[in-house]
Amino acid sequence: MSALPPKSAPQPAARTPWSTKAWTSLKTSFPLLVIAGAFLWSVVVITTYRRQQSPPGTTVELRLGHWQLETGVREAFDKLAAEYTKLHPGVHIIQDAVPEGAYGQWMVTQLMGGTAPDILETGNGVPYNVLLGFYSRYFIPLTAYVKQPNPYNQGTALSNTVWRSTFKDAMRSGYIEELQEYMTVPLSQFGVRIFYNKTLLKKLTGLNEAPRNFQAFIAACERIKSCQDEKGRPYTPIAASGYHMFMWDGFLSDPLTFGAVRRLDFNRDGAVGNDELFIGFKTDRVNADFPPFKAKFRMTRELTQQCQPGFTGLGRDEAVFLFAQQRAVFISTGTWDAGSLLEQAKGSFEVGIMAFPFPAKDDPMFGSVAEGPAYERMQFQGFPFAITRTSKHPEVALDFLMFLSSQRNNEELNRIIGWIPSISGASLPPFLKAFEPVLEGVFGAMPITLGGETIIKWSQVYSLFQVGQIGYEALMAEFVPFYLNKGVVEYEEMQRSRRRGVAGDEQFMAGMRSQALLAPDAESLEEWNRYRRLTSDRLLTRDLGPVLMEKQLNAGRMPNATAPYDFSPEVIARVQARLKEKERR
Amino acid sequence: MLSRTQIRRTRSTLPLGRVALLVMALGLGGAGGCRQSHRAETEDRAQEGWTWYRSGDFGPAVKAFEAALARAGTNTVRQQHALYGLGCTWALRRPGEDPDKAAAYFQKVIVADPKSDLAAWSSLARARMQTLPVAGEAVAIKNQVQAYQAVIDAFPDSPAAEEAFVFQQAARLGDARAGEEQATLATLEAYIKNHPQTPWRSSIFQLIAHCCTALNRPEQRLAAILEATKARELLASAGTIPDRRLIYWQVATLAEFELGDFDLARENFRKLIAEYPTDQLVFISKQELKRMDALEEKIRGKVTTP
Repeated sequence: MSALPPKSAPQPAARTPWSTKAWTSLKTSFPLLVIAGAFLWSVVVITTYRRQQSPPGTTVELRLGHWQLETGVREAFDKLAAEYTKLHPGVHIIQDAVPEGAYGQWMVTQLMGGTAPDILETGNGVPYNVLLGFYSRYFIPLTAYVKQPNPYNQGTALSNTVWRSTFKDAMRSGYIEELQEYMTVPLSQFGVRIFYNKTLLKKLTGLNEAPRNFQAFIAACERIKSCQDEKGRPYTPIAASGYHMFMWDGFLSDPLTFGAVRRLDFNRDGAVGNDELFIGFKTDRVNADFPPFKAKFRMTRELTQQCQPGFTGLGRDEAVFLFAQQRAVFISTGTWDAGSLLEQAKGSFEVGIMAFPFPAKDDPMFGSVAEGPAYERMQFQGFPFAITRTSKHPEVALDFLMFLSSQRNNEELNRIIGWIPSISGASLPPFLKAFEPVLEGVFGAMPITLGGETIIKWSQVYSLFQVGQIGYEALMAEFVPFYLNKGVVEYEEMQRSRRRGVAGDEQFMAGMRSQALLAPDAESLEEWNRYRRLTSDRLLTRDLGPVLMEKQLNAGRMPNATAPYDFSPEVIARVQARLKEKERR
Repeated sequence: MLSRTQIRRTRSTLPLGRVALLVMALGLGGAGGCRQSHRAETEDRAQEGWTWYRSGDFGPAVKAFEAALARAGTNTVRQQHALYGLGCTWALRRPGEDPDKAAAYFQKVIVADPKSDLAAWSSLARARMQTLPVAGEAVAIKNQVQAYQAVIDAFPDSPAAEEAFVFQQAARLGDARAGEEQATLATLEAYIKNHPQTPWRSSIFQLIAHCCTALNRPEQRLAAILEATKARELLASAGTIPDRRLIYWQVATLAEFELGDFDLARENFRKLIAEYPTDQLVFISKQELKRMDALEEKIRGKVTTP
């Protein structure tokens, strides 16, 4: 009995065996192990993936991010990247093509995380004011480089031309006014034209080519409208939708209002702003009877009569469907749709591309106000790329952008994609020849809305006009009194909005001032000059134009006032005196 | 239902401490990297504060300026830089601005060394706060003029005072009904006569041109536009080509429609066409060239016809 150990003595059985301890430890550490495992797995996967992307011998890996998933874009970059690698062995270029809808989020994440590609396409997914901040924080200014010739243009007519001037728009679209810096390299241009079913046009009208003259075009449309298909359904001359109308307006009817520039461009900047138009109506310098305005709406009416019924309520795809089904002859669209339209027509019908049919000088209805064709340019320069500050090889990124924007390579890049090159002298694919922009012409001068209520009212009455429910007189009778009345409040609100923007400009300028205050001596003068230039533009002189405009408004009714581009009797007298003086000499 | 103690026990079986440690280790590693890169990018915390400020990250900007202030010790210049940064951030951050706090920081800069440059800039920043439109409504001209005058009086020979003077004159022209153009024109002309080398020369001539427009003095306006352009091009960054298209256009149309000086008008229309061949103003410039020819032809016809 004495052999029994005392009860108080330690019991060997109570000691936890090592296996149990390990099991408990494993159980409690399991989440940690899962996290660590996932982390290691992701490291291995990413490293392996990146290794697979970069072939052996790669010394410089350049990444390029964009949102262009259209046919041809990735293939074009791959081809040009391969050619670049041939010239620069060791450089390997990889694309990050991200869907348009997710691009903004992806770009922001990459930039903020410091993991952005070396080269990024910019302009999509973030508001412009945010993008401005991003430009200054995350991208490298290109100003210092745009004044040098592009070495990849050697042997061409552009070999001695500075890089900036080799672009069709002199790289203006890559220049960020607010930062006073060139930030992006635009690689393509876009254009809008009328596409037409050549086969159907010939069948219905006997014409081999679409008419280039407005009256002849409308006559062809009338003939098309009078025909029926084998099921007895009438053909539609123009396939349109709410989306498509801006093109017809912008390229055909709006330019007829150009005459308002001479009458209402009070600040003589070469265009009519919505404030100037309002002052024009308010002071009776123009009214609904102004011939260019009447002409615009008359033309719109003639065009909308050729569209399918209820087109304003239809979507873009419904119009394209009507065209692809060979139930309509004409459709307006841009280079971005050219490839898919040609693809849909393949084997079924021949597609023609034509310029918008402008009225001839002797046109009885529009000839007197049609001063020229629509001016086309700035709005369609795009496909812009910028270099990120986190790039490990910014010099190679810059060199690759120069390579892509050289005459020969830009031509090749856009040939593969089916877009218009952005570089002067780069030839167009044959089917895009019709998209060569018209660089001498006129533009619309009737921005008739000021703010919320006038925008809503205008869209209501204009929709009724477009579908033929009301005529021009009714449209203006309904809108103009409302515009003159509500416009006063909205004009004042516009001025308040402008003043509200001062705080943002102050904020920006304080940042610029700090740069000047803290700049090393060598850069100080340059920084102060930049600061003063921007202060002048953004703060000092911002009220001057609106003040002069307000003086015009306060002057009251002036139906017979000398217009900004009219010769007053005093000026004619001065011209006379100068001519006499010249003759005397 | 589980009691609180049970919940606590259940939680304690999870290796939260270890997970937290791992997360902290990873986070600190990352944050450490970020901090190091910031150190490399900026000379000190005040400069880092401005970097945050310029990118619109006002929270981190305030922290960086506060850290700079804490590290400034007894160095007055560093203190002033940090305080000035804090003042600007609290004055101009949107949303979350605090004008009282900002004014207090600017006052501290001034008190720290009343004769310094940053004291002058702080004084101007305070004046700008007082002249900032409220809810889109402009501050009365009289109040704006007084605010800038305070800067001019307190720091008469400083660059900030010179800037205050230009803003003061612009403020006088900011009300269409005030009728200040004549008096402002005289003030500006006197200033430019006494300070021909002022770095604000371009802006001053722009203001003069505005006065001349309002007073209908086209010859004087033309001269002012040309002076402003010349001075502005001296401010242009090296390597940038000044954008003259609107200047050509303004001079050409002023010469054509107000001075009747068709030679000057033609010269400027032609420059615009030659230098900006794809510009939207080219078409109308060519039309104006034709209009002037036609008018001269008509006048000559009348002059020579008995």
